[in-house]
Amino acid sequence: MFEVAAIIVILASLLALYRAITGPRFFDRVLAANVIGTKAVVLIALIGFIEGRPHFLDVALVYALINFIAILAILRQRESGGLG
Amino acid sequence: MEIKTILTAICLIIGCLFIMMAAIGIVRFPDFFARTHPASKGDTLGQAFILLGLMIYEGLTLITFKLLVIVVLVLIANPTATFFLAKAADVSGVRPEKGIKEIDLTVGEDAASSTGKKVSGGDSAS
Repeated sequence: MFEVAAIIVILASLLALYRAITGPRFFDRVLAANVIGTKAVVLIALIGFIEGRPHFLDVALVYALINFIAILAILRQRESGGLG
Repeated sequence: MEIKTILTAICLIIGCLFIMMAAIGIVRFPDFFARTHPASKGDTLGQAFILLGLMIYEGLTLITFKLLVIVVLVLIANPTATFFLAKAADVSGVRPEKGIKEIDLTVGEDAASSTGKKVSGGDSAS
């Protein structure tokens, strides 16, 4: 049950990776990276339940925080040319 | 089969459906501002349903609380990140595709201004 869900999440992230490779603009690629990051959080939680070690959820929580901060940092770098 | 397993399977199926629809929308939609819709809404709801299925499967432990924290965090953070992305694209000069803009804005204004005169003339004549 969890394995099938993990495979579907991996297929969806591959579709988002297609958009990240062939995106015509910079913002399409950042959008696809955000989607892949959100799917990675779900995938880490599912892998923790598959392996029987749910302590992976701490990794998923930290990954969600880093994903949000990374998107904001990339956009600020793009707009003002620096992180300050 | 327990009722807990059935509820978990239903939540996982709904979540996988939303995530696949969001991914197909990201690939197939014609415009950047159209692609922000599946990226923000469909993806967020899909991950919320999958993690809700894991919460039902686990029961009432500390792991359930951690999953709830992740769900609330992504429910807040993912639409906010997509909003900032759309705002940054709008500031840096990205505009919607021509067909979508014509359907929404110019046709509506022209229709309203032109039909206003016709309607007033029709009212005076009748």
